[in-house]
Amino acid sequence: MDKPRPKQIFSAQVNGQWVELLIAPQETLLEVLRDHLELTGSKEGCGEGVCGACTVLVDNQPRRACLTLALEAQGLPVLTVEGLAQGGELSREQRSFIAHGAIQCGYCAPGMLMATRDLLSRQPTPGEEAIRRQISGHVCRCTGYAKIVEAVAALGQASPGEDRP
Amino acid sequence: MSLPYFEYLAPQGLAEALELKALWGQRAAWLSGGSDLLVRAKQGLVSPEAVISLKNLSPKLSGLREEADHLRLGAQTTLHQALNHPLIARELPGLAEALSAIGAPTLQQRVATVGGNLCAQTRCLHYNQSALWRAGLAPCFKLGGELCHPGGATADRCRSTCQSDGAVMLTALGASVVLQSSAGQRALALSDFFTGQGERPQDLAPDELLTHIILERPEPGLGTTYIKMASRGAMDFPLLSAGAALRVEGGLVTSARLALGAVFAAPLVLKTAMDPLLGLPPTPENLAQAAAQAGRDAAPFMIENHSAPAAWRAQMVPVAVERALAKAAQRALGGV
Amino acid sequence: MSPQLRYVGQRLPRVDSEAKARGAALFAGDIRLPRMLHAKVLRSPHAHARILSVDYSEALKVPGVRAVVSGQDSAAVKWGVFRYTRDQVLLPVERVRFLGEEVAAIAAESLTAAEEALALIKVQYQPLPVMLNVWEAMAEGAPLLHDDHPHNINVHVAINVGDVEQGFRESHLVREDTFSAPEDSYFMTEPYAVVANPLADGSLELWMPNAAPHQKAKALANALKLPLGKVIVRKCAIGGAFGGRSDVFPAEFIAALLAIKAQRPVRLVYSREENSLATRKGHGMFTMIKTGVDQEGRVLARDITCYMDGGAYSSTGPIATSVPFLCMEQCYKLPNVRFNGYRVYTNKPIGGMYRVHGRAFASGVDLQLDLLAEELGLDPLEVRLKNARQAGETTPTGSLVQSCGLTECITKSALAAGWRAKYGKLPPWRGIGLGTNSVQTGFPMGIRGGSSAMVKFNEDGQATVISGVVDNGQGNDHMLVQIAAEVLGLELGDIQLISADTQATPNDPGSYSMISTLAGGGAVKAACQDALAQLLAVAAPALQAPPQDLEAQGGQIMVANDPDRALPVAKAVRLALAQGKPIMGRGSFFPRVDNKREWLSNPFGQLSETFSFGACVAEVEVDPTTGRVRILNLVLSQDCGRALNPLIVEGQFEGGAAMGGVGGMLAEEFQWTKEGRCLNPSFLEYKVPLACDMPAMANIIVESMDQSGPFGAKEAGMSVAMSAAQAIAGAVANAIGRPVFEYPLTPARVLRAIQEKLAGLPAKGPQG
Ligand SMILES: Cc1cc2nc3c(=O)[nH]c(=O)nc-3n(C[C@H](O)[C@H](O)[C@H](O)COP(=O)(O)OP(=O)(O)OC[C@H]3O[C@@H](n4cnc5c(N)ncnc54)[C@H](O)[C@@H]3O)c2cc1C
Ligand code: FES
Ligand code: FES
Repeated sequence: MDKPRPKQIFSAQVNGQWVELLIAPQETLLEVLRDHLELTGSKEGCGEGVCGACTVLVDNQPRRACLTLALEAQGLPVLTVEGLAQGGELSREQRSFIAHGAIQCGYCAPGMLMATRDLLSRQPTPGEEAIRRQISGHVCRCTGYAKIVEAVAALGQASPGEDRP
Repeated sequence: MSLPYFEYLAPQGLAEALELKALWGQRAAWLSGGSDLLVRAKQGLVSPEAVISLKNLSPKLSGLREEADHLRLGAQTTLHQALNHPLIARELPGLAEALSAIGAPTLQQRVATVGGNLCAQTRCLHYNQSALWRAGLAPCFKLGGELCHPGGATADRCRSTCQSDGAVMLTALGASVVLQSSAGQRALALSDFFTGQGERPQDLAPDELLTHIILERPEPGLGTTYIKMASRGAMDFPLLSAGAALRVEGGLVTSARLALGAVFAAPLVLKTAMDPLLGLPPTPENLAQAAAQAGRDAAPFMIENHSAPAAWRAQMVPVAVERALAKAAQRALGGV
Repeated sequence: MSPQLRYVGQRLPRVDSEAKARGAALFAGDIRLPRMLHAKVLRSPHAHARILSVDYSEALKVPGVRAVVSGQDSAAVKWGVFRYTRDQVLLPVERVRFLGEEVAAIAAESLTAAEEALALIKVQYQPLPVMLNVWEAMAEGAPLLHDDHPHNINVHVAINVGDVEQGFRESHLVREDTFSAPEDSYFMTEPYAVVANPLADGSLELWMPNAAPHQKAKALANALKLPLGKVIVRKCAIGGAFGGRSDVFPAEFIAALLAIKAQRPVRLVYSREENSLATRKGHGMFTMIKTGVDQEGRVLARDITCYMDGGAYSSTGPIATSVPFLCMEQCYKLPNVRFNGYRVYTNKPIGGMYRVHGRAFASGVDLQLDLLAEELGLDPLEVRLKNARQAGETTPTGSLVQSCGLTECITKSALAAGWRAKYGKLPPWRGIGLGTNSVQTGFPMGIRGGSSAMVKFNEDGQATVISGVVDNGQGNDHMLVQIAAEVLGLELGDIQLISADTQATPNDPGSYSMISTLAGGGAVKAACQDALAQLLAVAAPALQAPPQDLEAQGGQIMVANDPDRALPVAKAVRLALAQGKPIMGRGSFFPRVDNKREWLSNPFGQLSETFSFGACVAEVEVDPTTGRVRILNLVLSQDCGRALNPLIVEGQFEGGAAMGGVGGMLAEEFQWTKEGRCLNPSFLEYKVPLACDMPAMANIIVESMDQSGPFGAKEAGMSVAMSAAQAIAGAVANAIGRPVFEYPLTPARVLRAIQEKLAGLPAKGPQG
């Protein structure tokens, strides 16, 4: 360590609360969430953008937290799985995943839930094809995706299979 | 997986950004969506001393502008914005297909940019690997060494390939790019921008920024399509891809451009295979002949640098090309 | 007892899912302790090399470094699942045998410091010849990876029942085929992680994803030379196992050594690549199958020789070598059968048990039977039914099959898939195929083969269940709670569960041999029945009725047929306390197996108390110009004894079909360079299926109501994973009109088969 490595101030509105901390500039949003803010709900399944387990919403857009520098989210609202429930009440995505058996080991669930929130915010009644497409950026090794698709479809009241060839 | 240390700079405007880059030169890397850069940084394939974020430039450098005789697409346009733009969705379905085939919606389409896709590095099954993977292995051409692992003893250059879906389709569309530095600006056809050298795939000076992509206005009779062959339905770089832009006027082909992805360090433009189509009707037989020639032209490029066998990929070239041409012709004739 | 079941058979949301949906469930990598250090492992860059020296003096100088360990610190402790397979030095001293093997490790205040220091460790290697497949390894004169194993044969399982040669002589038709597949891999979404925490009393707490906390603790206690009670494996959420978390890894040994050395908590989190290379992977396989049938398609004799690429060490070798054969002999009647299974050492990462272990075995058995049926002009479905195992029969190696719904699985799946209307009548390039399989519910494990449980009633009438069963994600926690609530007449929310914590919970074999419901669930059921009996005995005088007339329901103890005479459970509990007889139930379940049965020395006798059976029908469409297979439909069925919770059972079916069928049969395989580097240790290049790749699936639950399983339950989902692979292999052969012998069925392999067929070349298997 020959050169000084100055830290930078990071501030963002995480799950509705403003946070301010000193971080290294190369830290990813995932590291800041998990290591600094102890919000360990977002998971690292690969660290390379493939599995989707780390997905959070930054300014209402889904982002791979493992491939997003925290400083890129400077000043923006960040929503993680911990922020879905409001006042202790589970969100409708969470309730639907639970009711439909869409969570087995649960490691993919945080990312899947954020992808669901993003999809429904743009497309309130997605058909099965749209749901599958949206969650195809997220690996689940346990469920075979069937129950996840059902859980998302139930939220949009579109019946599974509707737009599948 | 953590990133090595670098400085983070977020210039407020274009001039500031270009000045910074002129100052840092090769020691700094532009950061758009980061979905190519940061993966390579984590793997230790690049180690910039600074990254210069383009996030504050996004408002100025994104979106599609229709000008008199061409279209101007901002480099910072996200894939999502681009493929959902009504003009692209309607008149350039091939481009929409290529961009929507990149990764998956939550990874790519809301974050990754068109400019990033054009400037992304070429790839190789033996290059996009971790530090642990490389330990005890001599560096390859792309890492400054003197050999190519899949190329074997006779390889005299890097055999990595362009697997950027957007780059392949934009090349087929005959697009060009605007490169700007604090010293000035230049425009370059994509066929020149892509050097064909895996070691340095883009003709992009250390102080330059790709600001815009210039596209010809889609003319009547233009049909475009993009065929991607990959293992999975999403999250996969192409094992082979074909972007086609065919213009049919009065029942005859007046322009035929085709580029292959995942074959060569640049999108491989198959001119000699397509030229015979000019002046002919786009019948299945004529297209099949062009496709067969494409297969012969592409064969020498096939080596074991992808997860599917080279022999299969070689066989797939005429298949992909024929399918792409057929679809493009159908669209040129007013189909969907 | 109440005849009316309130929970069993209901589609209930899992009790553990809310914490997971909230992101509140803690996985090992989420755990953070005060003063915790971060660890990193230095790995061998060679697939085979002698370690000449390890010098970490420079690493120690990096600020923040608190402990370093290498082979010298390991006392060359050797690990093996069996006494006779102790072949892995947990931190090698002299030799590394695969690329990625652990050489040294560092614990530091930050990951950055650990990484920096790692780069300063100097290791001198002398590279040795590398053997990357079974043929190289078995070749005459090949260097030995373990000196006491000639020809690098790690395990040889030999089974010979009946008179195989006589069976072939009596056969009307005999076929011989060879099938092969490279390694597959688990790719559970959670990468491996360990937290080790040394406590003031000299004991050590550990968290890691595991499939058997008690077995981990025992092995670690041995390795660290600590009393068993001082090695405490605690519970955490686990992101999938699929067989890949079953035995002991250097990671926990290293984390423990570092923690003890630094006297600080240490966390070691693997990267995805490390998870792929340095935990377990599947086995590569070559299977030569010879089968003889009579005119009606009844199998008269079968002879199988299988070579498994086991990688550098034994791990569960004897089990892995046997299981594909055992699944087959459970599933089909086989009057004469011979099996020679060889597990061979190579310079690859270690092969472990896998949920769909042996695709090149099971798919070969089924495909060959289809080919024989076709040659005889018979419908493969009929041939399967003729050979299908029935309840009451005994397997060739001597296991009584006490319950078996295989015939029902086959007929129901075939009916739902429209087999009769489709087989042989589909348009070109469409095909239909059937896979059938059976799995065990546990293995003979001697004193560790049974599970025990306790239940205590709390003053408020709620109950706490204490069980050693671990939940890897499949829903075991829910299964235990549901069984307890059913027996005790309580709500699910009235049950607290303490599980998978070796300090608190009694022994359990672990959740890796499909035994958890049978043994763990059975033990909890017994413990609850014991507690209930105590409770009823206390309540009887108060309710003025004999205990046998009482039942527990909705938190009340009531007189059967007289709901007005009732006593709240809480009151009964307090009554018991007042009498100095606190309610504490205990129960255990030790499966009736033949503990003299041994994998190698005596592979005969009752293997598991009961077995589960499944069948799958797949319909596919093949693109003849690309070779790409599209699955149109999968009908999944299994005799799981009884579906305690159909929602969970279906999830196991669907997940199994994705892993074994769609991924396992069409895309998943490790690729290697000639130096032994894995080309695709990542989620990007190892092709696990995504949502867009999955076909429509239909689930059919068959219930044979097993006499020993809790409420009749056996096991759910395992056999579906494999039968989906078998069905797809059959369907593709049916679609293209010729068998493909190498798996997975990637477009390249399928296209080659199509082209060879069009060229009039004979269909032939892989060359050894
Ligand atoms: C899991 C995964 C799957 C993927 N799948 C695909 C796929 O299927 N097809 C595909 O094509 N790509 C794929 N990608 C690669 C990548 O996401 C895309 O190429 C994307 O478009 C890159 O855009 P970006 O904005 O994220 O680029 P960045 O990573 O930000 O930049 C890429 C490179 O270009 C440079 N750069 C960025 N902007 C400019 C500019 N304006 N001027 C000059 N240089 C610039 C950067 O310094 C960097 O070297 C995948 C990536 C991941 C992680
Ligand atoms: S951890 Fe970010 S995508 Fe896998
Ligand atoms: S539930 Fe385990 S990975 Fe999705």
